[in-house]
Amino acid sequence: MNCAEFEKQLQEVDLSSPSLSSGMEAHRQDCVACSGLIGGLNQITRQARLLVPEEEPSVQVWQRIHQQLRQEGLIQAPAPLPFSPATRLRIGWFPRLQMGMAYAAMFLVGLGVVYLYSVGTTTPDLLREPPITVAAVPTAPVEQSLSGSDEPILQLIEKAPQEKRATYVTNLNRVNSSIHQWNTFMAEHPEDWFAREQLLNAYQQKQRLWNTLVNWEEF
Amino acid sequence: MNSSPHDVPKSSEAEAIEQAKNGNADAFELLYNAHKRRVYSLCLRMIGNTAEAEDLTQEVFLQMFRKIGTFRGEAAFSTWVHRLTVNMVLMRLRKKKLVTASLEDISGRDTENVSSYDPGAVDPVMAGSVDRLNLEKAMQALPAGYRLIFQLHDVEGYEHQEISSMVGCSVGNSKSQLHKARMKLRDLLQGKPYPTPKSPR
Repeated sequence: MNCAEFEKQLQEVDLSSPSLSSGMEAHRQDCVACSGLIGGLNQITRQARLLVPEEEPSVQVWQRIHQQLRQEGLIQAPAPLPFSPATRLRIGWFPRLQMGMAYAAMFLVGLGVVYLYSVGTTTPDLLREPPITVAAVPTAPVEQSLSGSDEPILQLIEKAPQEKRATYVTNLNRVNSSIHQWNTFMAEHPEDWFAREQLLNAYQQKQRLWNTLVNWEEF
Repeated sequence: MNSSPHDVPKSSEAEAIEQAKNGNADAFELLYNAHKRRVYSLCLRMIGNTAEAEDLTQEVFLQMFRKIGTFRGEAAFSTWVHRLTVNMVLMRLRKKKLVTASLEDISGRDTENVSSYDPGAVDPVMAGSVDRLNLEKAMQALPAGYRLIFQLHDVEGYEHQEISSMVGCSVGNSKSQLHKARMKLRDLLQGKPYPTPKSPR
């Protein structure tokens, strides 16, 4: 066997477990160049095995794929599964239920506020400086809307007519519940624009409730 | 295969495939996470540009999810995904006209002139020169057709039979291409000049 024949037969050899034919092996032992050749190719093969995939695509790739699949209708809404914290996190249906509940609560609060407006004062110019700024909505902590900052509203409710107080308290609790749920949802899904809008709406509802109470007091 | 592409158990994957056929979003995500590295790695190695590799990865998975209903389980899912990836990589390269000569090699018309083995010369010791970085760099200098076969066989561990079905060439051709790829890499790693890319025809 000569060097050219050795190289020609080399492409049939599995370099990961080199077992040369007797002819090739005899040539390899006699030929430094061919011995070096097979050694070099073995090094390349061994190193290639170490080139395992390390890189991964950015998260935006999956987001774009997901969006496209939704647009094409290839993704369906997941079927409801038995509730547990694990499935909630994994499947993600529970947050959607929360969203629905919060939406319904806000709708009821809105109805209540509209009703109160309809029977309330007609002097909107007397509105005081609002205690809740809409611009601060995205970063407002849940506790603020649930406890301490509600003290002025509760004081105003105390000044409202007796027959209206229960309605105001109910509306306040509902809007606080909405704010709490949307804040919770936003903490898990900070990029969800829909949730962000709903949270903003909830704060605006609370603002209207405040305005209504102020109007009652001024009146 | 020299390593499993699955980050999830096969039973979970089979279940995910069935759920994905029914449009389950979580199943899609699970399959994506299980295969994204391999798909992206192949795209990146073949394209050599992260933005374009991500774009191609996106196309591969979209195509995969659109066609998942046609997957019958006759081959391993990873092989099916890889075949799809290879097809899309080749299509992309054809569009870019970067692979014309090399694809001719794959189809059997071997025109690439690999520097021939010089039996009279002592093979320089390559110890130290074959590290990851050097090999990656040398691979990028290979013609795309060689690079693809080398990637599939020596890096990812596919057999020639599998490669032939993925790429659409004969087993003999796959072996021949691999040998030439290794010989060219050896030249490159020995410091022989990197070839200039051929201009599109």
